[in-house]
Amino acid sequence: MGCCGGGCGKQNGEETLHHELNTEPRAFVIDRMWEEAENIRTFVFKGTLHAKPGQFCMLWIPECDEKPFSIARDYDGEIWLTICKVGPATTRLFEMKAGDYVGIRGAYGQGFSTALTPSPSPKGRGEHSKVVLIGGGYGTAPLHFTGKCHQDAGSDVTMIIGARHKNLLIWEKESKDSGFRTLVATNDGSAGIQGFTTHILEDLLKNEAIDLVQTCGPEKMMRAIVEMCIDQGVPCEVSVERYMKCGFGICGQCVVETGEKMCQTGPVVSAEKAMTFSDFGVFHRGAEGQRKNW
Amino acid sequence: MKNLHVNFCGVAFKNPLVLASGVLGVTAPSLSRVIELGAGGITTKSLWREPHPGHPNPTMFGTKEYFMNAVGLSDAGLVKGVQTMKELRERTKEPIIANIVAGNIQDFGAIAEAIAELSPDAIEVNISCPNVESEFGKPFACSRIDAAAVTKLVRANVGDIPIAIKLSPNVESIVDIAKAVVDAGADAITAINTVGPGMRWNIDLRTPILSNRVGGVSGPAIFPIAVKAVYDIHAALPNTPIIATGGVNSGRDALEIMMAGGTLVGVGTAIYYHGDATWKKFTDEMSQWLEKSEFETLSDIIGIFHKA
Ligand SMILES: Cc1cc2nc3c(=O)[nH]c(=O)nc-3n(C[C@H](O)[C@H](O)[C@H](O)COP(=O)(O)OP(=O)(O)OC[C@H]3O[C@@H](n4cnc5c(N)ncnc54)[C@H](O)[C@@H]3O)c2cc1C
Ligand SMILES: Cc1cc2nc3c(=O)[nH]c(=O)nc-3n(C[C@H](O)[C@H](O)[C@H](O)COP(=O)(O)O)c2cc1C
Ligand code: FES
Repeated sequence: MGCCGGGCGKQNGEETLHHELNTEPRAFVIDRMWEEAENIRTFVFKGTLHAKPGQFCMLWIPECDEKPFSIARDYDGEIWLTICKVGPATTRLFEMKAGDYVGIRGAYGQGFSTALTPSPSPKGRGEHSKVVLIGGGYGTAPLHFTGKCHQDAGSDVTMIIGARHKNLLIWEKESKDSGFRTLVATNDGSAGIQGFTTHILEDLLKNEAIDLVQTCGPEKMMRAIVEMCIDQGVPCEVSVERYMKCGFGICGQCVVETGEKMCQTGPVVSAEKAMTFSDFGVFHRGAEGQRKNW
Repeated sequence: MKNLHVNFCGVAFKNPLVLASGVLGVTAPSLSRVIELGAGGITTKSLWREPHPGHPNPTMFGTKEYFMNAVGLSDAGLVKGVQTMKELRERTKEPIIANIVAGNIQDFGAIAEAIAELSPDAIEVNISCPNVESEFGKPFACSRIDAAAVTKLVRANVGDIPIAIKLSPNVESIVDIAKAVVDAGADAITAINTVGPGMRWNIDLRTPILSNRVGGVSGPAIFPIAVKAVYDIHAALPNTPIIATGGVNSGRDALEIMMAGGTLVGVGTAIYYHGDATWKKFTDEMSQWLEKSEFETLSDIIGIFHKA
């Protein structure tokens, strides 16, 4: 079934608060899981969060921690999260098995615009429009979901996937199987071109008419993409990740330098908005609010 | 058009609504945006001298009626606190209340002295957080002697900056504690901090929802408790201004708790229910009410329930 058979997210409508009034975590059982690459695993849960692509959820690993993760799929009665093992919480999660319980709350935040979801970008939203998605690292996962929604609306989807090495490439097969034109860049040339996703984008921007670029990945990569798109006048959206504790606008951990909360105003914002954040591509903050350079 | 100005310990506020400590308070841009959205003033997150990690998540969640948190007072310590305060002063002219916390009485003195150098408009002393009991034992706000000792030391270390002591509702008599801190030199009282602590479990996971197992309760459900605390403190100490805090969730709630004795009104959890619109919504409701009322200024309503 196409992604929108399962409902490509709830519509925002008039709501200003992107959470239901009850934000207790709900119990979900890990249905199955598989390795995407070294230290990257996709976890599947039965159910739905009514998520739009680009939104995130808070995943509670009981007696450990609760952390934000992008929703890699929410249709056909399944929720997928693609998770990279980086520290204590994700390590604990990687020790869990099918049948184990976790808590999930969400979906939260603004997603990527597609023809099927409200859009800050005027173009690139309909039949025959040409959309380019650029993922770095685990950022590729929510973009596949985004691509499916574009495809359902009749758009032509190009997916650019970047990784340091071919062993770290994820979602390449799914991307090809979904019929997206799939272009790959690795730092060491072990798959696709040797170089960065930005090199591929540069070429595309030169040679093709592109209606919309959407990206999720390392912030320095996204910053370079944003600058290229603004320069070329191509609408672009980016997912700006900040440290998140609540996910619903209370704790203030995820605030960028304009004072806006990335859990509600973001994580997906337009390129123009991202450029108003003086920290975009420069620094983020840790659990106690201390600055950390990207 | 009547305005919402109030005066608190000699500091002018364009309206009495101040952001309560710990909500949206991690950075200067976050706090100054709350002013832009219409708050009369802001309170910083509790500032520690040394970095303090806080509890792992889940640290908070909400329901229609109440909110629970056990953030555990996470803060990066004085170096960041000083930066935040300086940046905040550059970003806004509206009043800044610096909220401070410490694990022992001496450290309260030290953090107070350091923060006083930055000349905040007032200092709020958090001796009432229920979420760090496993680390520090019962809050100082549970003992008249400890509460007075903290107050005395802070008072001695901050020159003429007004100090408000933030009290806990989780005591036998909040009025006795209020009297003790005022005797020890407090200019004002903030009442109340969160109620409880309370506890909630997930029945499928059979695990307490908050990693700290217990957490302070805030939001609409605690409003009646806050109104009573403010009413009782004002009755006992009519000349002591109160930052009336706890469950205020509308402009009418703010007016009610002022009539019970609040000079300023702390607003925290309401942001969970109303988002960025909170400030304008509440001040609009207050202005409309005041305009139609017999009162000329908002200050005239402070404590009027006691005159009835
Ligand atoms: C909107 C959003 C979407 C995300 N989507 C994904 C995803 O799809 N897949 C994935 O693998 N990761 C994703 N992350 C990052 C993920 O939250 C962190 O990798 C995870 O929290 C690490 O926890 P840890 O205890 O294993 O590691 P830690 O050692 O605690 O942290 C490792 C690094 O992860 C980041 N991090 C830690 N805690 C948080 C937090 N509460 N909020 C944000 N960043 C944090 C920090 O940069 C930190 O340096 C996303 C983050 C955000 C904000
Ligand atoms: C998420 C959260 C964090 C808080 N952190 C602090 C804090 O750091 N210091 C403090 O003095 N009070 C803290 N409080 C208590 C509030 O300042 C306030 O006293 C209490 O929540 C009651 O008001 P409310 O119902 O308007 O939120 C916190 C409350 C919440 C909900
Ligand atoms: S994560 Fe708490 S305000 Fe955004």
